Amino acid sequence: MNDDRDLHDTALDALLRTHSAETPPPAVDAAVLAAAHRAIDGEMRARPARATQPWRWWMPLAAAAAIGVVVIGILPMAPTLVEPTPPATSDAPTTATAPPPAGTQPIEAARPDTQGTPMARVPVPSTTDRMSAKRDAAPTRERAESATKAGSTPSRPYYQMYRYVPPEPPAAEQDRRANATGAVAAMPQAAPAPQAIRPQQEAAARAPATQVPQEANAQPPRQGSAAALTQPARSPEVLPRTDAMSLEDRQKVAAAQPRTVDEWFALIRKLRSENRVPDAIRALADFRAAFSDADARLPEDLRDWAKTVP
Amino acid sequence: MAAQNLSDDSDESLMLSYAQGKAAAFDALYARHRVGVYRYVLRHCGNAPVADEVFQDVWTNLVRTRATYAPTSRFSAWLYTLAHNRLVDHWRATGQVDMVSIDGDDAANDAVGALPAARADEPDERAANRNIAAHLHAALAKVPPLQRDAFLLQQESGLSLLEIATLTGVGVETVKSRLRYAVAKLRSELGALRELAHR
Repeated sequence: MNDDRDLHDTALDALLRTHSAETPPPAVDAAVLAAAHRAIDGEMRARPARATQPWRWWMPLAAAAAIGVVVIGILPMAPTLVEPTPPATSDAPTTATAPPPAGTQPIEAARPDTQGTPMARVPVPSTTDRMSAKRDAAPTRERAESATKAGSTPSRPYYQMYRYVPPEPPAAEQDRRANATGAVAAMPQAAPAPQAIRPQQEAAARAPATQVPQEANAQPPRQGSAAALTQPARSPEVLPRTDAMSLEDRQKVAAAQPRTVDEWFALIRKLRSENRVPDAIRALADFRAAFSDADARLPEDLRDWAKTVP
Repeated sequence: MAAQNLSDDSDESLMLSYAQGKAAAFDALYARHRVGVYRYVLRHCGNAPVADEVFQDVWTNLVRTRATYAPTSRFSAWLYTLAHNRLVDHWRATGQVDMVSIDGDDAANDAVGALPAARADEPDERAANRNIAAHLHAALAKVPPLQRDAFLLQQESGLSLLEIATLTGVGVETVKSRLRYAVAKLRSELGALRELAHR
């Protein structure tokens, strides 16, 4: 109570309130308000000025992102570098004495995988590869000519570049083939399954139907299931390849090729009757490759002729 | 409509708005506090041109430091802190700082008791009305700056004792002592005027 009386004097407060009329001069008011507004205006002007500065922290990031987008978008479209491979096999008649190019290995249509399933190992080119192959396909002749002039290997279509090259067969197998095939063996083999898969196929024929390999199921057999299993599996990828044959052509050829022993005989007879001896020789070679006891199965009319064909 | 909204806003929200770039908020703040701050500065300085300069500096400092304002306390406390600091600079520049302070209650009571008695001269009402402002300024000028500062902060800013103590950097009891001494001094100086005010 005493404190309040000492700290406040109501008469003094009233006197000060009553006789206090001092106010800041208008000029000072104007100066203060102008300074306050000027500061805000300057700040607003500084903001867009900063926004138009030529350099920004995100510019390196934007440049890196742009480069990344270009690389990701363009790189898959660039032609893929492929190791030059020997010329592909062809259905076109070749001279029997022409040896295969050095390092050339015949395409093995299929080989047993770990599950004993004959699988076509020829890779299907991807979309990117097809694009690059399409670019390469049009001027192939011109490129080949120019490359020949330059003394280098001419470029080939993509389906020649992506051929599957199987591992080296055992030495015994190589010897057997060398003995069994002469000029015919020098010809590129078409597509039938190799001898090596026969045991697996026979084992698969003895197995229950549920264990039939997938690729055998993929193409329904034309005869009984057991007989179909004895036939070599075929797929468009293992068909003979030529420079001019497309995938559809090879599919047609595959459909036309015999699958049974009688069909093989009919085909060989037909080729002989049409005087297409090289084709008949190749068909006989394919028949021999498909069946280990091919010569024993031959009928009389073909057996004599087959003896003349090594 | 916008002016109406601004007038309803608190000092703190106005200051934050101004710090964010709303110039109109400053106009509202200035309209609220310009008179109090000016009288606080003028009664310290006793000289209108000097007071104008100090007053302008106070508001310029507010504009400059607007980005650092944080509403941790009342805006008026922050504003009068700026004014107080500017006055301290002024006192230092002019050599008017009297560091002698009567902080103890006993010492203050002794000092008040030692004051001379009220003057017996009684100016007539008209003369008093005409010269009352001059008497007020003269009386305040006779109060030591620190006591006068506490008294004027209490009169013009409406701050509490604790806020005044925080603002001036002393204890609450020190503020009370200063106020007690300033009131006693003014009573003795303005005795006749107080009688007029009572009538």
